[in-house]
Amino acid sequence: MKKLLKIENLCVSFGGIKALQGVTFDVEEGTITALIGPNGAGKTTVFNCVTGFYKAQSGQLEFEGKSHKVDISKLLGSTFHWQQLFSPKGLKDWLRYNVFGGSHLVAQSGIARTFQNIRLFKDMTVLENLLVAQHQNVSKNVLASLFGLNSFTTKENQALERGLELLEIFSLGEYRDRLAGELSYGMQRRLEIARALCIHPKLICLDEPAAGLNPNETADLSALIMKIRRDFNVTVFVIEHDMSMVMKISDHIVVLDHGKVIARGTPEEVKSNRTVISAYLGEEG
Amino acid sequence: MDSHILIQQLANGLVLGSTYGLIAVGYTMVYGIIGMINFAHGDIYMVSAYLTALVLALLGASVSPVVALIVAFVLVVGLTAVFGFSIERIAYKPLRKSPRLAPLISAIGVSLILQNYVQITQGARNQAVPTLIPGGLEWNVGGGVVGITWVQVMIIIVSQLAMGALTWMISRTALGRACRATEQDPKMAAILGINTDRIIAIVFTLGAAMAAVAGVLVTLNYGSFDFSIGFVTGIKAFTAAVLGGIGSLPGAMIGGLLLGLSESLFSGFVNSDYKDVFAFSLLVLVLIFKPSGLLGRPQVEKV
Repeated sequence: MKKLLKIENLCVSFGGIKALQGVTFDVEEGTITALIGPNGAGKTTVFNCVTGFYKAQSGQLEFEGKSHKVDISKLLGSTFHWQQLFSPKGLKDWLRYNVFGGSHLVAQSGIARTFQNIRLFKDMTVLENLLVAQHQNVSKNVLASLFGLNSFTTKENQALERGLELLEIFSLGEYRDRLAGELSYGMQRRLEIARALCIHPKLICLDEPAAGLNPNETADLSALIMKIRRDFNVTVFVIEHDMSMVMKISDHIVVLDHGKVIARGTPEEVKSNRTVISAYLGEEG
Repeated sequence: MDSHILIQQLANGLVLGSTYGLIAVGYTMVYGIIGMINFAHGDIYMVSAYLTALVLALLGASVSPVVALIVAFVLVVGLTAVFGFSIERIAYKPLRKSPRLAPLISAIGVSLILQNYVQITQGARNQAVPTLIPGGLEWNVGGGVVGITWVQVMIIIVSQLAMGALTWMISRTALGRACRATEQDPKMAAILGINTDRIIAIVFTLGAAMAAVAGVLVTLNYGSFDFSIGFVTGIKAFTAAVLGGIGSLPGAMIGGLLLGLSESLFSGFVNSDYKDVFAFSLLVLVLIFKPSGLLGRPQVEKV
């Protein structure tokens, strides 16, 4: 199968703490890949690097973007090396990504994410949250919107349609004009996933989507995740502590402990792996 | 109490307050989006006053006042917006990731540079522009005359229009939506593919444009200015923004009107020498009893 995301030798440290020490694994296209491990293992740090929230100190992050292959760390801008003065392309790239680079390019290349602590725009309505995520696709021309030009209204309508469609799928249709902050916790979680889907991602990263949900809601969420993979043709990369859910939905599991990958494979392989059991899952019975 | 003085001072206050409101918008939008007080904003207003005089001088008496007015508006607002944009790119963007105090100091630097640059190139003397639109309205009220010039009428109307346009843009257009998202959570907005640097630059540009609208109007009204007007007006507009609740767009306009009205009434009925003292006392009182301002919301620490 085609590799959508290739992570090689990823290292991140915060001061003296080595959060990630040479993490290497792939996410294959069309799969649901889960990233599990004890608290503090560095799971969210991996997510943060992949989504361009912050930059890895070293290592490769290659992503098969919408239009071409991208190097995620490079999009965020890099420090200047004097050698770049002698290579026109290096200099050009450095200038380009340092002046115009940033997290938004990662999203534009097709990676979306949700957060462990929900980060909706709480003072905007539910629908606006979905529209703002499609900003790159709508017309930014104020004059065009002022005069209701065709190009503006068509694009705005397309964004609106997609927003409404997603609200239906996530059963939030009746709340479209409520403020996002007023929704219940479970609904906010769903809305955040819907918003991530609005950017037309190839890869969607879900950070503990089932945290704080009851067993019924978790079951619904599992079904929803399977559904969006099928209907929206996205690859799902998920961090989750709920093992029954992880084992049920994922095709591939990566286990992280102390900033290192200690195991990877199918749910069955991981479930019976001795290292994983002692580090994370614990003995049964 | 003489009713004609009351009405006259209310009208004057409305005019003064409208201009404070227009400038306060720049403070409040920039504060809302990057949490920084743009101390150079008052000087951007000052620059727009000089640009107005330059444009009017270049046009000379060859064109009709209405044409001159329109050309001045378009050119000055456009050029000042470019000023706002460039200042953000040169002095604030490189400091985006620095501690909060760094851009603040950079802003004070920009303020000094603008003042001194204008002083050196244009001279320290008072500058004057000819009266473009003479005359006005007059009524006999009670025992006296209440007068309001056409320029003052224009100030009230144009500032309301500009505020209305800005409010519409922020609440209804895609760009405004992105501005609000960036204001609430810049990092999240970037994760969703919004180029937040561009949005921040646009906010600075809009703020400068609004200050330029005030600059043109006030220059036409008073007819004279010098390189240091940006300071006092800037501080007053900043007061207006804090009064209304910094970060809130309607708050800036209401704060501006409130400050303008109370200043005029105070100078009309009590003492005009102490009007600034009164204005800032008002600020102190608001900060004591409602620290977040009239329409502001208490700061919630972001997680």
